[in-house]
Amino acid sequence: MNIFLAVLQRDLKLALRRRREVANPLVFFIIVVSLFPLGVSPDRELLSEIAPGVIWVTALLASLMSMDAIFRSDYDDGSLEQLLLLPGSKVLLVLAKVTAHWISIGLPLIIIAPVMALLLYFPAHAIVSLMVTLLISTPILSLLGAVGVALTLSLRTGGILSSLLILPFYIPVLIFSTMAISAATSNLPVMGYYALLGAFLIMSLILVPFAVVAALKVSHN
Amino acid sequence: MHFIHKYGSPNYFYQWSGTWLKILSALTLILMALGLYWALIISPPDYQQSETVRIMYIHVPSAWMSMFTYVVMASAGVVAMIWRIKVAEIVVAQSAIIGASFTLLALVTGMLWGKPMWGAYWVWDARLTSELVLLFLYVGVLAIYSAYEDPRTGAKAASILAIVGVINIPIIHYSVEWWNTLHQGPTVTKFDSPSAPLSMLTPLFIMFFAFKTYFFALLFARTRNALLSRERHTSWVQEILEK
Amino acid sequence: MTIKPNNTSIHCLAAQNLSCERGRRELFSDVAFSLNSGQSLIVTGENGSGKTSLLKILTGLSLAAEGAVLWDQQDIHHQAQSYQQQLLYIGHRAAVKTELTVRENLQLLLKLWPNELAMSIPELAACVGLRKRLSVQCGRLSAGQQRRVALARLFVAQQKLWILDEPLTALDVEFIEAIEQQLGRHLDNQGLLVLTTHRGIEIDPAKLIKLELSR
Repeated sequence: MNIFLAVLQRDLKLALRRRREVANPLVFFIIVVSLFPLGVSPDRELLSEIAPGVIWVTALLASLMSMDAIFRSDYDDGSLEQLLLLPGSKVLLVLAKVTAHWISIGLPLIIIAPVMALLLYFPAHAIVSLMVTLLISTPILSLLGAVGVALTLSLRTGGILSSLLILPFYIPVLIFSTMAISAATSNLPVMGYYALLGAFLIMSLILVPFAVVAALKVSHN
Repeated sequence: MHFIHKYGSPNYFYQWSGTWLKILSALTLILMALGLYWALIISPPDYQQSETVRIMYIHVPSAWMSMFTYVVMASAGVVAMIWRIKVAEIVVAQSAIIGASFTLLALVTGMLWGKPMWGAYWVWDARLTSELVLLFLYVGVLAIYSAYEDPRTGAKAASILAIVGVINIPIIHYSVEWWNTLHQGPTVTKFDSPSAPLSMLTPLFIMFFAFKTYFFALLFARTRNALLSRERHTSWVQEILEK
Repeated sequence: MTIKPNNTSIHCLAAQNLSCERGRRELFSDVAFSLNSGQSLIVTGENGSGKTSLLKILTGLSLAAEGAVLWDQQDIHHQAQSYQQQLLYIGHRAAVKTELTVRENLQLLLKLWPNELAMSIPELAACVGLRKRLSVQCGRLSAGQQRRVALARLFVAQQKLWILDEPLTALDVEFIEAIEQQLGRHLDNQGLLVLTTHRGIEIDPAKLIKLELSR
């Protein structure tokens, strides 16, 4: 556990020092969501209908955009190879880095999302479901995104390629989350969706770190 | 796990796969001829879909093979990652290409079939959508493999992605199916009619086996070629070339 | 600062017909050596001959195309944990976080890496001549000074095997001497040392093994 806490603390401190860089995906999220009324129509009904999809797809992209930061600077300055040589569990190391990344990107996203949702006339009574789905799903996005970044670290075309690899894996998260929200909008039970997302989260927490460790090793070969 | 190293050693693999390649190629020729003749000439046209139903004999086996190939690719990926077998690495890369082709074939035949059925080449039907996502997954594996200059590193990266993919495919598949039923209501799936008569099922199964033998024959042939070019500086390849 | 002679057990690092491929090109093949406690191995060779690749294979970060690296007669990949306990590797990238101050970087080193010397951060900074720059962000330091932060690990390390990739790059003469002394102490304490360098380094010739990589 020592390694987990030490790396978590280290990464959070670094994120704090790079506040402006960390804020970029959030600004991206805000701007892209505001483009939809301009691009589609400011019509109240139409916007509230597409709001869950818009918020979710934009959140996916913002999270994906931010993923590169999780390993990039550590890879470039040689810190990552040092971390991989630390005696101790590499899985905990990966979990610590993903957790730190989620705290610095995922959490602010969850806080901003309801505000942006209201701009799209998102039904107020379904806001809670939006936040809950984001809360359960953004860690999944961070975990899966980490695989893509780890696989493409040593390549020059890393960023766009890693999105290409990982976006298909985001589909279940997108589907379950938006379905949960539309169920909440029409006052239907939503616990089943949360349970599914939760199961997906637990599975990802257990399995994905191993894939990330393997991918990091390949990148350092 | 001694036998994995034995059957996976480049030299020995080249020997035993040669025999299998001949058997599989012969089987493919026979089954393909029989199946196509049966499917296109003997079997009756459907009472609703008339002659277009014959697309099924290509479409359904391709769709099956597109999934099957992914499983083969991921299994080879596991072998490549754990035992570091060179042949398995090549199999990952080669099945990715073959699998992507099957998927594309399934998509194109599905669209051609869809035009008379739905009046449009593309509808967001659960199966077509799943197949499209599968194509994305194959493209990802191919992209990561070719992005690396070193083919062995590329194959390892592709293996990891394939393994993550094979765990996710059932979840993706299920979620897409579910999304489809909720948004469109239970559509009657036109691609498999449970009451299909035996006269249609028989050629379908023959075609299915023909596709399967074709896949393995192709996989062996491509893997052997790639192996020869990869190992061209070694003594065993030189010996074969001199013969 | 002296390193107290801890367990004086004898260790051995050996390489057996290592070969390395990059792309479809072979960098080196049939590299073999055996290094015992108190000895140092200097890897030389022209640019692109695979020095860094060899060191990375020795750390276990990269895999050799063929061959094996043995630590105490056992493959390092079969005992990764205990091997990493004994290994100190400093690559040619400094692994210094430019956003953090010298103090924070040194704190991180002490926290993450096993070390047994009770030395305070200012004392450690004094060892590498950065006593007065403790609160300066490492991004504002010169390349040589950043290098010193990374090399601070050599002054608190308890690992038996040191693998250093071009440790003397960008250092000034004074500090090079300090490092050479530290390496000498490490060898006196029955440590093992593998390094690449393109300039000469003062090491007792009796303890030296040379390995030249050539294609």
